[in-house]
Formats: sequence, structure tokens, C-alpha cells
Amino acid sequence: MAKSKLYCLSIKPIVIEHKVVHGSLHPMPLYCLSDFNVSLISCINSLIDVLNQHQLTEVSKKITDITWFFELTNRYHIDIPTYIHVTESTVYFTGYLPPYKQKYLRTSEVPLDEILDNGREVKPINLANLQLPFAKAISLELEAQQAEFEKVNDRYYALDEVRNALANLDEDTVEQLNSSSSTCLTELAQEMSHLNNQNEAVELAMEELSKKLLYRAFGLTIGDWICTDSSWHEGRKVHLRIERVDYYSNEIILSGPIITRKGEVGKREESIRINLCKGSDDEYK
Amino acid sequence: MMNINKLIQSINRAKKIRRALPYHRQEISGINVSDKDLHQILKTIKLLFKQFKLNEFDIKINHWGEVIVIEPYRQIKVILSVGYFEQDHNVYSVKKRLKSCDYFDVSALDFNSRKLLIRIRAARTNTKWREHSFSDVESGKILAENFAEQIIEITSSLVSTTRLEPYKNYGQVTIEDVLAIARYGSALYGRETVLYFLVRDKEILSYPQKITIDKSEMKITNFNGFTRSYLLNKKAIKLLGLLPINFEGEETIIEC
Repeated sequence: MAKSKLYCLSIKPIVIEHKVVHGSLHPMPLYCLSDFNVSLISCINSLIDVLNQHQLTEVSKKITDITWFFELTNRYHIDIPTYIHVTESTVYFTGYLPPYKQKYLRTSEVPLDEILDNGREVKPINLANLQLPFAKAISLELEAQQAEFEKVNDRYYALDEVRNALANLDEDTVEQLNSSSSTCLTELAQEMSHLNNQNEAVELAMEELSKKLLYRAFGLTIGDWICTDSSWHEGRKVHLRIERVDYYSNEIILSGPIITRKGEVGKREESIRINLCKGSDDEYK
Repeated sequence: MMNINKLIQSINRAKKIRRALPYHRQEISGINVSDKDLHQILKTIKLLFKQFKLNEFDIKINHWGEVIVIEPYRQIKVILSVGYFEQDHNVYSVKKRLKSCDYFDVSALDFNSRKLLIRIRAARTNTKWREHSFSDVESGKILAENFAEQIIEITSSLVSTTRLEPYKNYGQVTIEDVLAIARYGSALYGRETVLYFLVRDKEILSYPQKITIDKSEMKITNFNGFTRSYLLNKKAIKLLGLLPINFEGEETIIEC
């Protein structure tokens, strides 16, 4: 029989209507018992797949088998509608007590790598996958986005200089700006904020694309543990948990806290760079 | 002589009002199972009651469906409860640990969150619950006999009278009962009933002393003597009607 993990989770309210009356109007459980058995794990795994395929941040699903203990009634309530929420690296539950119809309580988050047995394994990956057609397509798309990003950025900084000059004109001189220059100033500010928004959108798209590339080429996701071969990365061995994925000039940068020799997640941050063009001559697992 | 069928009926009738129990500030025992399991469980309860009757125990059930068994020799009350319970020491240790961390592995401990239990306790302070798995009880009459013996056993060491008699006003409607239903109504109907505003009235709910219900008007008096009245609509009256309150004739006064 497979070993199952019984976890006890603390409860937090999602919304607090009013501090004084909240407790009696929204009965809160004392704790939540969740048995991460085979069926729940497979449910979590399928949700993780959905999450990674569509680059979502959180997926949720209604489940049973979770029990909530209420101190007030001194017993478990088994009829509480419960939802499981899976994010890139954590899992938590929400629920409500009928006759309420909205979720008002949630549990604390449990890291996924603690629950999943393979969470802490170092996965071998093949950098040659980067040469596959779909990976090429994604990296081309990334390049295009990067070009777009730079174009927008260049315009932003050029405009910033003009705006600064106009602003100085306004500040350094005694005379009021004439109407056309002041309209110009507001228009410049508007365009800049617009460009800023555009840039943020492009950055987000790039992040999603690099996550997609990482998942489809190597099967890696946020929260996975990776380590480089000693022959690579300036002769040092880098061992880290992926927390962020960035793209910059043809390189995918994986960064996150290092993993200490004891096998725990440390505090110091490290990063690994993967060049999308050459790729294949770097070996790491 | 008590009628067992009537007792079973009153447990059945309390099914609706028991949904409001999480909104009640006191722990109220009784039968806490899902509606679909209730029928099966009542069969076993009936068996138990028959055995109690044979031993000349008295059984009382109030409007919340709380079951009290009274042993015949010294009239000591014993609470009977069915549901998914946890041992007190487990709850205590969990509570202590949750202060320092958000989650922890409890695989090593013995938790019975999925076991339907039947348990009894003398209605005195600091008495312990005696638990039995429900499947044992179902397995036969022998356990029913055993139960009667156990009740004698757990009450034998108790003195016959205490200074504070618990369950003295057993069966009477208390202010907290009304407020519990009001909170439940507020959760169920939201702003549709006046109960929503009643349970959020901090002034009136600071030590309420008296509730007067006269037809569709409800007056609450707090400890300062300050009174506010609420006009109940049909939905609110229907809900509060789950308690033994008369909305037709004379006014009902509930005092603490």
C-alpha cells in the first residue's frame, strides 16, 4: 500500500466583514485535515498539467475527502463544500459553511514539493530538445517579443528626455508655459504611460513564453530543483530551485534560492543561463 | 411511559434546526450525520432506546434534538452524541502546534476524522467522553446492553446533587437559541430579512437580557435597558418558528 500523508492545516478567513461580529457570523474551523493519498495526488498532478499547458497561475476544482474540525461544535463537519487550489508551487483549500454561498475560509499553503514524492528529485534534461522545431518556433517568438520590447523601450527613453527638457523649462523659468507646450507635456506623459503599459504586457508575454519553452522542451516548471554539471557554468556546480524565469538577449535565465548541501532550500540566490542558440554543448541534469 | 417512536420522530424533526448549530455559541450534542445516513442510524438508536427503556432510563429530547438519558436511581443526566468526533487531547495538541506553524504532517498520530462515533458523557463539568465506533453498535443488541451498563458505571462515582445543575432549563428556549437562528438566517437570506441587520447590531447584542416576540415584532433589551424592536418578515418568522415560539397568540418573553 502506498504511503499517504495526513496533513493538518491552519485556517484563515478570506474576507473579514467586521472584526467584532465576524467570529459568530462566519464560523471558522479550528483546523483542516487533508490526506494526500494516491487519488488526491493524481488530482493535483492533473491540475498541475493544466496549469503548465496554459501558463496559468492558479487552478481550482471542487473535491471531497477533506475534513474540517470546528471547535464550536467540537466535531468534524464532513459536508463543507471544499475546493482545491493548485498554484505553480503550492496547494491550498478553500471552502464555506452552508447556507453561505461564497467561499470565506481558506487554509494555509503547503509547498507542492513537500507533497509530491518526485518534487525534490533532480530531473535529467536534454538540451538538444532546444533544436526541435517547436522550441525553435518559441525562441523565434521570444526574439520577436524582445525586439518589440527594445523598440518600445527606445521610444520611451527618447520621449523621457524631451519631457524632462520641457519640465525643466517649466521649473527653471519664471514665465508660465504657453498653452501649446503644456498640452504637449501632458500628451507626452500620456504616451509614456501608455508605452509603459505596453512594455509590461510584452514582458509578461515573454515570461509566459519562456515558461512554455521550459515546460515543453524540458518538462521543467517553477519549483523544480535543478543542478548543473561541474563542467559548465565557470566550472562551478550550481544547485537551485527555480523561482523565476527570465529571457534576455537569446538567453533563458533560471533563478531562485540555492539548495544547500543538506538538501534544504537556502537563502542565497543563484541563476543559470541557457543559451537558446547554441544550447547543445552545455550538459546539465 | 415514554413512546420510543415519538422520540425518534422528534430527532427527525430537529434535522432542520440542527443546520443552524455552527452558529450557536454553545456546544450542543445530539445526532450529527448527513440526511442520507440518518435513517440507518436511527434504526440503531431505536435499538439503544429500547434497551434504555428496559432498564427504566428516562430519555428526553429538546428542540435542538439534543438527547439526554436520565438514569433511574439518582436522576443523573447523561449526554448522548453521534457524529465525527476527535479526542480532546488531539485537538489540544493541534491547537498548540498551530500557533507556531501553518501546517504539519500528522501521519504519525491517530486521527479519526472519518469514523462515525457514538459517545456518552455524564452531564457534569470535567467528565470524559466514552467513545464507541458505530459499526460495533450496529453489530447487535449486546452492545446496547453494554451501553446501559456503562451509563450506570459512569454515573456511579458522581454525587447526586451539585451546586450548579447543568441542563436545569432543558427544553426552554434561550436568548442564544434565538440569536443562533438569527445568524443562520442572516447567512441564508442575506439582506432579505431584518435578521441580517439584527446580528450586526453591536449595541443591542452587548449582553442582551430579554427578547420579547409579539406576533411579527421582536424586541431585544440589552443590559442597559436599551430596547430596539425589529419587524420580522415571513422568511424570518418561518425560520424562528423552528424554535418552540408562538407567533400567533400571546407574546413570548425569553429571559436569561
